[in-house]
Amino acid sequence: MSESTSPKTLLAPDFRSHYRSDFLHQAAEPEWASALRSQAWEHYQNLPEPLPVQRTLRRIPLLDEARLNAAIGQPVDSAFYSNRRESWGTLAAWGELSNAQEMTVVLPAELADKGLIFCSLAEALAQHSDKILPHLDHILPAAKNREAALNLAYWQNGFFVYVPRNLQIAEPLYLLQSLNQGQQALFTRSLIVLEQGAMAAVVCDFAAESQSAASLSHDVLEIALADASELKLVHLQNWGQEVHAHSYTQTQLGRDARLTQFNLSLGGSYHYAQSQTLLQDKGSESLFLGLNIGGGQQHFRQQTLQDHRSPHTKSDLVYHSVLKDEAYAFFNGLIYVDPLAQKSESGQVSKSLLLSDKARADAIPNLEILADDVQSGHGAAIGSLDPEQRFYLMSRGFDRQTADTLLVEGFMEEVLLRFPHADLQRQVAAHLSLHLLSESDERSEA
Amino acid sequence: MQTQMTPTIEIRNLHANVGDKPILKGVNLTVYPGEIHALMGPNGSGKSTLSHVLMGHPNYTITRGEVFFKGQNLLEMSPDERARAGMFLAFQYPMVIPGVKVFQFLRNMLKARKGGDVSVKEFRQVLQEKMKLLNMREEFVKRYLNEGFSGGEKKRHEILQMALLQPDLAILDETDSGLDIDALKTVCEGINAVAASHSAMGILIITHYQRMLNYIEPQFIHILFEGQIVKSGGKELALELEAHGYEQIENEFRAALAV
Repeated sequence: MSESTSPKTLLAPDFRSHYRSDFLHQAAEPEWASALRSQAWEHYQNLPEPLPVQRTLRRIPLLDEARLNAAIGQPVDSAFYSNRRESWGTLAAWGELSNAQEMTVVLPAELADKGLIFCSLAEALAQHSDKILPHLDHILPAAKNREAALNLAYWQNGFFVYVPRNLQIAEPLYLLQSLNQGQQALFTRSLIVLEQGAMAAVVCDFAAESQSAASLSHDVLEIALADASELKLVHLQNWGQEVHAHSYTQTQLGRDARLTQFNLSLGGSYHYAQSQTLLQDKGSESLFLGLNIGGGQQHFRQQTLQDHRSPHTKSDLVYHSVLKDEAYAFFNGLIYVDPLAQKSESGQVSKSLLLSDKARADAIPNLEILADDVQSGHGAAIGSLDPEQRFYLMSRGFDRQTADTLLVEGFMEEVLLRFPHADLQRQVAAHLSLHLLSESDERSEA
Repeated sequence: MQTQMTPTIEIRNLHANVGDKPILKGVNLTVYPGEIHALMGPNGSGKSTLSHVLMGHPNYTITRGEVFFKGQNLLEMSPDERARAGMFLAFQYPMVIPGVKVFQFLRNMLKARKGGDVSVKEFRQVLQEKMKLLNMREEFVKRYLNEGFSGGEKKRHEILQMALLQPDLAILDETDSGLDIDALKTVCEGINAVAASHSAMGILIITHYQRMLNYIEPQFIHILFEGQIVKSGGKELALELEAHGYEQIENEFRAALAV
């Protein structure tokens, strides 16, 4: 990777202030899709910038966005893909997206015959517009969300998954995004639709080897869960250490629909992750799980919304951060309960474990409850390893380092165990161990 | 006869502080292999401090005195070294450690003590045997360390660890607290069974009440008061305490000081 910038890049204006049409390589897309882009750009220009948080947070690491190039679109080394894919065990189907553009999807015929659609979103625009139109830009509308608008104006490619009525797939669908060039602006966008009674497990894996220059990954994931459908989602950010990642996930749930979303932030130098769930209909239920594992100067921001709009809706959230060195995590979560959402239950707990003096965490848990017959609770805790717990373990013969490792693993395990898919639980655990192993030179066998 | 043996633990004139505050003010106590001692005393006398100091809790500073464990200088050892050398403390308030499974915890604990691998098969066998001894159900080990355990379960779990580790010295810190009479009986029977199977084990029972001593019979009883052992004797001392309370001893102690 050369650091030198082409004259084009030097002259190119910031993509936030001027529309950079060179970011798009797309061949012809339907007119309505192009219209959406220009409309989205309008929205982006007109929507106000969000107000800064009323608290002194650590500064976001700098990324010179004006120097970013259009995504290159080259395929990634296939060995990287196959190794990564195999690390997830048995999969129902998989798709791989390279540098936001090139896509490969492998979908077994028997699943396709049952009506499962799994392809690139670009392709779906042309072939499955009937299934896309009700959801694209409706779940996370550009008219109301500035970053979603930016994404809709620039998105290059992404996945489309459609699980038809009553189709239940136990093994995961695997959606991998990767990159093998630096200094790119990757705008990706995916849509997952589960029809009534459908069930699926999906892994959205963002992974790459480190590059010499920072890239921006800007990803939007819209999810529509129809009545009584159930999605178990793993969203794993494991980019190289230079990447600035922004992810926006929004799920809309129908009656008795269920979502479990497990957000993991392991990689990147900066990750802003917004996860929102709209409990639109009666009896819908969502569980957000989160693990941030940070070292070096990694900086994570988690923004969450549990939005209760109907009676008997239920949501919970458990986020844990483990921070070493000078890593930083900020959790900002809101539970909103509409006046109509009586008999709803909601909870939110975020905890951060600081393993060094320079690691830091901030948390702002918010409740906005407008119904009077509800149960809700929240809590946030930030601290270092408990010396009493450590003493207890050491009194049983574990040396200090092993005791600490046990405590950290236990802290992560608490979140992991809530994920209701035994296989994926194991695979995620394996990825976590690998990640920790690669991070620390010496780590004793506990 | 005893004097020719190396004591399991020998505490000589031990002084310890929390911050600037002296808690132990010259404790002397020797336990030989196979002996059962009870250390009694009113609240705040320093009983639990002594147990934590002996296990090496970092919050206490030793200001004077020596402790030898099987002839080794105990005060130079870290808590994990003490544990591996054969010292065991059953905690009054065992810590809850979420996310750590009891089975893995116990197996790794045993590995650390033995300084080598313990195969799953071998471990399962010894575990089953010890759990039977303590009247525990097998599901127990699938849970997380002390998470959601009742008071009785926590204490039984402590004794299960003792049974697995086969320590040379077991310090039982208020193991009777928070137990109803049935649970107390089960736990004490467990302790007796472990002691019977491991006759060289010295036991130091720390308790406020006499009731635990109905089930485990100590040969020696010591009364700790304001950081010092003020009286030692046989089991009749416990009965005396039961009849007259700590007040009498307190008065004797104060009178002695006044003279």
